[in-house]
Amino acid sequence: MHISDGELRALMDGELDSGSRESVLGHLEKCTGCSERHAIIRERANLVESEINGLMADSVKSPLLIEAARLRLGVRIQAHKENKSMWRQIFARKYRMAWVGASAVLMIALLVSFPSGRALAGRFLSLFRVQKVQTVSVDPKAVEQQLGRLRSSSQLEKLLSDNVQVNHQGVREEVTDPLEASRKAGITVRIPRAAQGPVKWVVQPAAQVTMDVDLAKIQGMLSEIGKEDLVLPPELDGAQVSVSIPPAVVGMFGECGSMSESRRPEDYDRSAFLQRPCTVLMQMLSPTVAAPQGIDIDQVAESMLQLLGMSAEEARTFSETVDWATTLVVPIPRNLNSAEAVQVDGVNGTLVTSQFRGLNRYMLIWIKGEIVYTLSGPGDRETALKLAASLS
Amino acid sequence: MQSQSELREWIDPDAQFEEVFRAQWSRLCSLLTRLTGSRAEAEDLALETFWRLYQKRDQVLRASNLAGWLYRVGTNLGLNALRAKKRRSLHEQAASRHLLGLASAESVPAAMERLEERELVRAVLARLSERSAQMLMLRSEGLSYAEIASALDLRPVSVGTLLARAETEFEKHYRAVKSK
Repeated sequence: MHISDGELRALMDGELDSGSRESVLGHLEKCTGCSERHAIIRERANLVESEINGLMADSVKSPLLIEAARLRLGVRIQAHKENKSMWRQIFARKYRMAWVGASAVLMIALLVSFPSGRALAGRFLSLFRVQKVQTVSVDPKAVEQQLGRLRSSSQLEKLLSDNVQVNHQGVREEVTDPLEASRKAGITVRIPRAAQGPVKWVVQPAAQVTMDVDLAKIQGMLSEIGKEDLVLPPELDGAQVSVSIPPAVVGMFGECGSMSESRRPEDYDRSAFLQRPCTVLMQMLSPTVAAPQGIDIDQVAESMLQLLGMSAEEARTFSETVDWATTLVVPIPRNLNSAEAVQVDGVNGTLVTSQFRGLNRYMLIWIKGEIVYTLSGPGDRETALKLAASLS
Repeated sequence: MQSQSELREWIDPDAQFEEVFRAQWSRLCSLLTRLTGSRAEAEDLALETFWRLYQKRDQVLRASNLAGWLYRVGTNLGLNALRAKKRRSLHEQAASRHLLGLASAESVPAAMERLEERELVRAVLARLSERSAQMLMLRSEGLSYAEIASALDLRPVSVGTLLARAETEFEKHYRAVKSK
């Protein structure tokens, strides 16, 4: 009676009970046939094992982003709970950026313009800045005019209080070193070695913004501000769009003042801050967005652009050049800023340079390995690129 | 205390789901990263796996072989993704051949040779029968025969035989791909 391949295989893995093991080993000593077969099976198992273990090289030893993952799952579960049968929630990678783009631009445009929304705006502006990959230049006068109308819209006020919810998960915390920041935010924090001056690290909590779309209310608001010609896709009605913003790590280098201590964004003086010799590097995992499937993203995006003061035709022309599914588009006031595509950190990034009260400022944005980086501070193009190149 | 929290988990599937998520997320992610070669894709697939678990938590969480369920569903999704990628890359190869004006199929072996060893192993896994590929991944993940049997719904005594068969299948495809 010879030994089966299965038993020989189990012998290798120590998966035979002691009785069978004894008798199999005893037989192998006497039987050349079985013993040769055993050698072949062993050799083959070793080949398979080493080849499959070779895949391990791709299993990067970066910290596992469990909190960020839990957040994504949470958004999906929440959306499912509240909207069980009506909508299939999408979470596909290719739609994420589109929804960050489309919904964040709308929410930001609404929130910055609205006095009691200012406290929220601080956070939204961060997201707004963080995500830009492509810029569109807009006429600041047209935007200002539009925002003025939005500010005086009573229906916008109602829309925000009834339909938009913001949940912060935790509080803003100052931490002592980048390691602690990495641990708290669930990402590997990188450090610009060339940055000078005192260093401060702040971890901003994750947040989730949920908007229940009530198309009638939105159209009412649009006609109140003289934009009744904007038409949003009808299938958007009743949809829930949620933006999930992972924790962000903000590193501040130089004389940054008390901005980090201020818990209330409306308390800090932005123009004073912009004149300080302070460099800020923000790092966060790309935000995720959940929204119903089957909505005409281009149409939503074009409406956003028009809300920011573009004509319908400008919006359409620009929209055609953008893949809304992967890009976040950021409006940059014409004349005041200039934007260019640059190579940074081995990927394509966007560099925006501007002048503020006679001082040069830059803002550099790029996305690498699902992490969004924004580096901003006083200086010119070279300063920005040199600092970014010193990241480790 | 221990038994109290166990009791709570037993009563509350959401709490138990939370526990399982925290205990298994990293391991499932690293298995799927090995399988797909992309961390981002692995996270998406792991998320999809947990999403399915969440939807079935009432049934699945009561069962004893929870990790097994996760690995079975997870590797299944991973292998599907791998096969889809293989199909895509074949199209891409065909397209690039066309662009280069190389009408013959002779450039395929050459292209295969240039494939990185790891991609080659993934291509082999994608060609195996689903159960074989799953067995090899679970074994390499260090699961015992009893755990493999439970995950793939097999009799424990047949695991050795099926594993040996899966390895033979792997070697056959591996040599075939290599020799091209």
